[in-house]
Amino acid sequence: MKRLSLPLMTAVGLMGMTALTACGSGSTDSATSASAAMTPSASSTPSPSSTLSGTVTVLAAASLTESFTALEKSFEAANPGVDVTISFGSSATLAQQIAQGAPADLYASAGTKALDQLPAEAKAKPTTTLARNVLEIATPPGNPKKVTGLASLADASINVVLCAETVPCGSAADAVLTKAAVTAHVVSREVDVKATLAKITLGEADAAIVYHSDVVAAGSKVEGVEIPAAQNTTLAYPLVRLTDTAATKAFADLLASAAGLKELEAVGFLAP
Amino acid sequence: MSLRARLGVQRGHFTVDVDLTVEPGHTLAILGPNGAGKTTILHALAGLAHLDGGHITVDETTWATPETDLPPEKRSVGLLAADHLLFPHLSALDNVAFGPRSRGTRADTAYDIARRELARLGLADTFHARRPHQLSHGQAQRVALARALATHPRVLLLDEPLSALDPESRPTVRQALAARLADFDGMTVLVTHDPLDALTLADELTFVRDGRVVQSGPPQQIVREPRDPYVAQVAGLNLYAAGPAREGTLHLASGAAIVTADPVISRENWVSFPPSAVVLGRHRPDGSARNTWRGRVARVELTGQIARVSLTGEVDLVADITLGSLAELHLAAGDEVWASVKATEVRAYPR
Amino acid sequence: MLAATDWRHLGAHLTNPVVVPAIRLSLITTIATVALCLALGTPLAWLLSRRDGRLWSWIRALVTVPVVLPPVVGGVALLLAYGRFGLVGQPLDAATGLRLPFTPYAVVLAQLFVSLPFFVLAVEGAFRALDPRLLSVAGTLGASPTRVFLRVALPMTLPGVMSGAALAWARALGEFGATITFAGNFSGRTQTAPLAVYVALQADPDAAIALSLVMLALSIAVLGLLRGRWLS
Repeated sequence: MKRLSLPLMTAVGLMGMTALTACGSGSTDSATSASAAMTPSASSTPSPSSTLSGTVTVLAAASLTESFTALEKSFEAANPGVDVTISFGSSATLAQQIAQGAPADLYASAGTKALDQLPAEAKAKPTTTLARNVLEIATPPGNPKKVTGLASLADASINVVLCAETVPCGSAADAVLTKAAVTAHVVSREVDVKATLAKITLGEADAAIVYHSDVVAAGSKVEGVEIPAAQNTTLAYPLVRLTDTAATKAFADLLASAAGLKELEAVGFLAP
Repeated sequence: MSLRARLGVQRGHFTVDVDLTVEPGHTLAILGPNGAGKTTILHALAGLAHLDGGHITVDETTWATPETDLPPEKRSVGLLAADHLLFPHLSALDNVAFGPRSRGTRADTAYDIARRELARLGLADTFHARRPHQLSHGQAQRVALARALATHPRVLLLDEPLSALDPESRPTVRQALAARLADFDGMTVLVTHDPLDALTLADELTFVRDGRVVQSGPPQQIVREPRDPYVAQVAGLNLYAAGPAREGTLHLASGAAIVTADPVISRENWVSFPPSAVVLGRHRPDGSARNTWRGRVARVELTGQIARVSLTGEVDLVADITLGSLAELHLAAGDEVWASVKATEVRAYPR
Repeated sequence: MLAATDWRHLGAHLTNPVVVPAIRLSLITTIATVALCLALGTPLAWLLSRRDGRLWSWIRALVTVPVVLPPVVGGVALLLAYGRFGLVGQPLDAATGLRLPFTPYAVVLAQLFVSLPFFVLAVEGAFRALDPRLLSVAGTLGASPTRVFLRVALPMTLPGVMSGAALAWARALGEFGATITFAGNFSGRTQTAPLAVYVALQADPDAAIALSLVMLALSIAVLGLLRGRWLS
């Protein structure tokens, strides 16, 4: 948590208070009893602790693991009464779980396609875009097979792994390859982006198409080869707020704040 | 051309160390109480137990020493145990042919051998196709014997072959076994605890106890002159260790005196007499018997017309009396009686 | 599951371009796995049942490990052993040019890894239940150890061997973690039915249910067939 700076902590504290102002929407959350009304801009002295309480259940795309975990830590430090639990997984799987009735307050998806699988009432909930992501080719360190771009992936001596067609990084990769008119030498379609990258870090595959953020998150274990903007595609990260509790709103606001974006940018996401 | 073996086998604290010799066409019976080491001896001969000392030599070929061990399948042995141990998934005929087939005999020859062996043991063709579970105990045991002999073994090992049979089938199988052994030219070693098996099937007896041979020899000699309490029990004799004789009178370890008509020259002797030679009475006898002892009835058992009475007293003994005598004497456990034995019935021989 | 099935479109789902290759691959690889179990596992189980001592306890422990190992860990272990830079994989690649990952061979290897222990333990138990005296008698009749195994032990334990094979087959058919980790997921090459179900569930739950239904029917049919013949 080295990246967690003092200003961020302050911001989180502010968020907590913002939540207080927002209550009174009929939520049964204990925060409704708070009477203090402040606006973030009006408050110049960050409160060291908030009176927010309850639990916030977040279902988030696997690619958000590092950034959301960091934001969860800082939020919980500033709001000791709130327990944030985040379950990371494939966006489609998580949307399925929500459709099956899994309890969730927030849903952060990679791409908007998985949103289609949400039940109708969830689709109607307020949605904001947290960040954007672009695709990138990942190779083992040193790029031993000299992958220079999408065209290299057609080489039969290069083993390419992609995400499964059914997950966002897979359909996006297919779209990018189609656009570039490249038939890649694909040996496997992995169930999610982490599994796809693992094939690169283990040295079993020579190239994978993943998100820029995944390449950044993997650090020195993989090397990225950029895909030119003309060939690339952008993936939006929408956040759906499924419930209206004060704690949920507070955490959603933190995710969408400048501090939240900073954390997302730190792991390779782009501003929305 | 014979089986000669000195078998030394160590089993934890238990040691077996016995010498055996069997001539071709002969049967050696090994008798002994449970735990005497009888089965260990058979396993050593079959190659199922390793020798720690001694050797096994068959027809001038060494089968085993502590250093060399011919595996069971390389030894020319046939083994028959108390349980028939037929292969349950094979028919009677396939069971018998298994041995010759395993030793590389062609299928048609092997089945010819199998049919012949089954016929020699009185098993008709109708039994050939039956599985072991479709045979009676006695039939299965005969099939097992046929299987053991189908490989023409030089050494036939019989491990309590009749002990698991019911009383009805036992005589039939014993007779079939006796007849078959009569024209078997190999060496047979029979382990049993049944004296009847030993006396009807064997040419030589060897008694073992605690892993050692206590007595061996032809049955007639052993029955006449037992040299071990267990042997005496099997032979059905009262046996006592005695010291030197003075004018025909010997003293037992208990201090009791016993008179014999046999000439005695040794300082250490065995004395024995048959239970049938004992006469019992309620009063001290005044007849010609030289040996009279007082005792108390410990037990009375009936077998047919004979009552076997066990006495404890100056001399512990068993007496066989007629049912008539028993009725006349009204003997019951705890009664005091007098036993007398004629000196001419008492045998004495060097210890 | 039956209630959730979309019966009207079942036919369409079953002829889905992903479903047929997945079922076919699953059938071929599981049959190959069971054949390998029988060929390798039976002699191994026999030796384990006949030998004692430290070395054989170690071998037994080693064979048993995959039972308690999460299949994904097994897949990682297989990658480390047979992967492109694996202990065995690298020399194999250098010597023959054969690379196991992302091939159907890897699927079979992963299935073998997880199902062999079940097979060996079941069959070893069957061998140990044999009356050892029957085996000694076979020896005294002149049968070599191989013949004792083939003509006495094996026929007598056939039901045990068959139920071991059924167990191994069921385990192989359901294998997911080691396969996806070691062999990858590519339709027609390494995507077995469970992998196809998992992937389909994310986009087309109805197809996933249809595929699951086929697997269920297949498992029940095979186990029912074996029960009638061997497992009663």
